[in-house]
Amino acid sequence: MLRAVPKAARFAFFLTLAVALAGFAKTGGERSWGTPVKTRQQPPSTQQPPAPTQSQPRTPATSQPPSQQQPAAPPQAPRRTIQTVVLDPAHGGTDEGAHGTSGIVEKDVTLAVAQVVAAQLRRDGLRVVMTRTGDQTLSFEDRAAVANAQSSAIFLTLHVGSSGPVGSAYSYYYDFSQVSPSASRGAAHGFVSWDLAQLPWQSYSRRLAQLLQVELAARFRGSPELAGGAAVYQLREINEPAVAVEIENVNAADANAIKALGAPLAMSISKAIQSFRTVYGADLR
Amino acid sequence: MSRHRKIAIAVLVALVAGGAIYLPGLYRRVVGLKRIPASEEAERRAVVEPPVSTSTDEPVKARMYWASVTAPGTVDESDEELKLSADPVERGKQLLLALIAGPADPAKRTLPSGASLLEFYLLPEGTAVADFSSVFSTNMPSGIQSEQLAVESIEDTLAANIPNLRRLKILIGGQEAKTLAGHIDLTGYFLLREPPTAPAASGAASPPSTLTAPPPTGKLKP
Repeated sequence: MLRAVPKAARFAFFLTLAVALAGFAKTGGERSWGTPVKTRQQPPSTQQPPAPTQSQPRTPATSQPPSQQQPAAPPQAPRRTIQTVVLDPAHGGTDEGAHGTSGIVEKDVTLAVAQVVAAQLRRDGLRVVMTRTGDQTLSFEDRAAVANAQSSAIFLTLHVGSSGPVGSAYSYYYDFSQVSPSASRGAAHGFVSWDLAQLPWQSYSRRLAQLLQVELAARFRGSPELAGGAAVYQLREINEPAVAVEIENVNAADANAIKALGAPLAMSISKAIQSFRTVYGADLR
Repeated sequence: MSRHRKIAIAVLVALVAGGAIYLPGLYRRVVGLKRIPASEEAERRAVVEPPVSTSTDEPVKARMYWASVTAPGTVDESDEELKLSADPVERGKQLLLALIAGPADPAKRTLPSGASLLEFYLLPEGTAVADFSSVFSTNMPSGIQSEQLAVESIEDTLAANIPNLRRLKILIGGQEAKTLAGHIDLTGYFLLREPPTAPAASGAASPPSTLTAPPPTGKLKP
């Protein structure tokens, strides 16, 4: 019967059969025929640090925040560490931020302070990515896109407030326990929306904010010892540990007095990141 | 110089002279327009937002939350005598208007003056919806801390004086806003904390323990 089939067709049939058998042997026969291959990433294992590595997605759609994982084995040394800091001088361009009574404009101060912080972090051997280096107008999404394009990174957004004692400083992380998303949001079919990107990182962000607040309290008189949990909109779109820092206050009499806070702020951030690198990747529940 | 060129120069000179006369007046009018909304807002508020008064109003010690002067970035409780309604919706309006009116010490203020409460209502499952005018957002002192204090003072004051509230939704001008004034997220619901202790009522009728006020339709998705 086979002789009735053209020679070329027979050759093609046997070649296809050979390739299929080779593939079956390679997978150990575990995959059923016709099932598409899924490169689905695993959520962070309890045996391994939950921090993402280069080979893992930055937030797997199926991953759970560290606080929802199974009880973990004793923490192991992190396989990766922080290499990049994304610095975000808040506001800019047409968004001028707060205006002080003496004419200080928040967007100018945040940029000046960010440049001082960036210089310190580069001296520490870190790679620094700034969301803006001039007077550009950027949306929250623009800033998040810059941050989320980095790997092994943390995100720090710098603000100047208008209500606290002059010379004090505060760090904040997004506290999802304070809010419940609108009905239109949420994880349908395991899909994590862009504006919930911060959710799996909340434990790390809280730890980073706390480490930073300890340093700020040591250098900025009148600052609290504890970091604040707040629903800071900008942070929720960041797919890595993310903290907002607010120095006070834009109503200071002299702009130089506010800009001078850049040096102690840089030192505080530098020290906090050094401490954070030792816990990054550990189970922080 | 040709005749056409002379005419062109004459027209240009006339335009420049006209502009020099017209532009200062235009500038004064634009500056004047910028000032109008604040006064209009105040006048409108006086007309549409008279003090909320109901037949069940009785003086009680209301627990209010204002910005702390000793621990910046936090709110402090303060028991103040207010006339509050037994109806939870009216009571909520009265409390929010008291927050907008501000404390005796201006340093403790958490909500911007000039803001208006457009609407306040309760959903049966314990969600309070507070709808403020846009001035609430535009007059808010910029910053994470000041916006957080505003939200916390609203949350804690409502939770301490109206039983069984679970969530708070803040709207601006009848709409869901992305942020309060550029920082604090308004897209979700704030989960209310349990008040530390109930306010001491002084002979006042307690508000009902269940929320029965029907929600207006078309304001918020269920």
